[in-house]
Amino acid sequence: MEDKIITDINENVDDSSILKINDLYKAYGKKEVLKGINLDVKKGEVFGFIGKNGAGKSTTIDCVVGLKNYDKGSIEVDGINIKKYPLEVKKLFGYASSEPTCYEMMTGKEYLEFIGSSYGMLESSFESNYEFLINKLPMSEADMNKKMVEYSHGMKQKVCLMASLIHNPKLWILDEPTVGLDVMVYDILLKMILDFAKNGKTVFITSHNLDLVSRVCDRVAIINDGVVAELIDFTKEPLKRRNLSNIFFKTYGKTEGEAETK
Amino acid sequence: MIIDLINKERRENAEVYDSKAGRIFSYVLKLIGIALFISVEVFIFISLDKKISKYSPYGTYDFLVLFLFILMFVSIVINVISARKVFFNKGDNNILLTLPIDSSEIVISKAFFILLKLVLTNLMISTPILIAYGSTRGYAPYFYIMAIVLYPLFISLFSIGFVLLLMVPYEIIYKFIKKYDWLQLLTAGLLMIALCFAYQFVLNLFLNSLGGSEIGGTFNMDFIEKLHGSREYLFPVSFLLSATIETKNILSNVLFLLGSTLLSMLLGYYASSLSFAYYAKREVNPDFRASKIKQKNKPLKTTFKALLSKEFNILFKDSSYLFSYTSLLIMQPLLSYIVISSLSSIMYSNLTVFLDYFPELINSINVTLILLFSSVINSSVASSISREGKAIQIIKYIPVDPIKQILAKLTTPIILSSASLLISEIALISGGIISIEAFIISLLIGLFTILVINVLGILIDMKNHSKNRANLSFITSLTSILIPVIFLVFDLLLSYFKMNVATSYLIICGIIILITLPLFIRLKTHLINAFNAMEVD
Repeated sequence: MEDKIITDINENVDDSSILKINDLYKAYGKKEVLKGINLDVKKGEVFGFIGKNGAGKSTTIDCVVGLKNYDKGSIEVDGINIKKYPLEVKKLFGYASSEPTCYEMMTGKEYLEFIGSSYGMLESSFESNYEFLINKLPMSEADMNKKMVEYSHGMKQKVCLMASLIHNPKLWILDEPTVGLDVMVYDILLKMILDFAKNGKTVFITSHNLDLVSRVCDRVAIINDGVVAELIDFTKEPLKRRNLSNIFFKTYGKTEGEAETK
Repeated sequence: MIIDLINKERRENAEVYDSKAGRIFSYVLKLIGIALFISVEVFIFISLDKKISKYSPYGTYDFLVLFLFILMFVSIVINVISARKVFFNKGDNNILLTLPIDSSEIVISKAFFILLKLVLTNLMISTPILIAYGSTRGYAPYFYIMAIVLYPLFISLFSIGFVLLLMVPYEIIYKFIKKYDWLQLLTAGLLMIALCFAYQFVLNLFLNSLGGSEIGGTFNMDFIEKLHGSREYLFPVSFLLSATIETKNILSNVLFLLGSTLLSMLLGYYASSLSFAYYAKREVNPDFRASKIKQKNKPLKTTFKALLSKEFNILFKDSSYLFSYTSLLIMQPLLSYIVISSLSSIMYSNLTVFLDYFPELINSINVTLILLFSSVINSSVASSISREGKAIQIIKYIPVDPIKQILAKLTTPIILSSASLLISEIALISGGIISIEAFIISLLIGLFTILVINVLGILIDMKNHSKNRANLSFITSLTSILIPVIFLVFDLLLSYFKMNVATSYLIICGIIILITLPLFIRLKTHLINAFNAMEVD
């Protein structure tokens, strides 16, 4: 199964962009975090965005989803500028953050209904997507009717993943999605990412988990010191999947052995 | 089968607990609540009973009949609400109607379950009153058997018919109201006003029973005389007590009671059977189901409704807000009433010397206190953005217009605080504690203060979200005190110059609007900019 995923070439990748980041700058006071990020994510691909802690991965994602404002540059989702048309852009993506964030006083189902309402979903499409997702991830109807304050970390993370997909977005943005997930759900998530892309949708994923990235991504960008330092295309260079950790450490001027010793 | 169905109803309607400790804790809380209720109820009854006994030899018995009649009415109302839920439980009926069970068995089991609830309700609310009545008069043991067994059983059997009868129109009205938002709002408003009067009546009753030994207010001699004349019409309580306590016309009373109970049960059974059969026909009818599926092509909730229910959810279910805000809101009318009425009776008599200088002194203090209660309680919830806690990310990435989100955030505390202020004011004015002028001005300035605190709170919260939280609570707390103080100072000042009340209130309103005016200039733009500029982690 693992080899099949690794050698699979995603034929659904379109040449047109779903996410285009041009010359993105962001500073916190005097400290510049993003120093001109450029990215062009194609429709239908699984795009990995990796880097060491503090390299600017999460800040980039925060700027894309609207949690943070950027100082310079531009972000477009499906050709729509995020600053000019923020609401239209927000309708196009689904976002799941590394820490599950939800209204814990609601039940899982109430939370999903709230998210569905904010996207103006129809009751019929909500219910079919809801059925699909609780079977896929999986969560029992009884658990979905419990308040989320009673959930484990993994259950909250599952509901947040469902919330990010309930409106069937074009672009699925995942920030460290595997934190707190058990092995079974981790495996399900890998399949979901691949299925999502097979349907012509795009996944933009940041992770420290190089195994995940090398298994599912079509292309990977490595960020270092606020700029994209390396862009790897696994569809053109499939062998690099197995060498991803080497490439990653080389980007930071280290070998894998050195990193392990440290 | 019926016993299985009753057991199913019991399980279906029981609360679900995750742990044994949670169940025990919940039972303990319920027991404390019931004990408190019984104590207060018995205390009020005995206090009024003692007072009435001094003035009228037959008044106490009449009062017992009236008290029990009201409690029977309350138990019917409570059980009509739960009967509707039990009989028209969609999930439950969808399962039951597909099973090979006769619908009469379903109806009987549900009716029997409601009867059990009625017996429990009457045991809880009526029996303590009878025991208190009997024990203060040293009645023989057979009276307590009547109080514990006969009375709750008889009254419940009589009431079940009415519960089942009333449940049907209640379901029809309930469904109709649920169709229209404006009707829900109107009904809620009317119910709120009715509850205000009920609240004020109960408060009066409570204070009356706490007060000196004389009777007065609702319970004057005229009322006692009228009650004596109309006691026998308080059926079936009057008949049952007449047969057991007075031991008058026992046979005819018991026969009449049995006949009317049987009649009410039969009518209730037929009404519930017919309505259940109609419900079953609609639910299992494929055409009806198809029309339901068609309806599903409508949107989920509207975005604004979803945002509002989210805000209500936070305020009513998050323990931190439940203690610091919601519970205080519920207590506000009681606090205002007790504090202001106590001040009226204790302190104001000592202030008469100042009335020559400040004729409006008492009104000023009353209004200031009302404003302080309302605005200080409201200030605890003014930080609407921080209310989100960790989930603040969500409001930034959902595709909902910032102004819609801000409006939902403002609407919730404004509605709740305003409702609580209005209830307090109605209770105060109906109790004759405040004047009509004080009512109008405190309501106007109170509502305006609630608006100012919430708008200021959300604006500062958005601008300083990741910065100093202490500044925010300081500014909102200061504003909540400042406006009542401005009112007090200017009202006393204008009163000192013997200015007409209406003119001085107009001037004070003008001053307060002028001071807060900068907040409302280009408010929409400020709010949107602050929302967009807000960065969250």
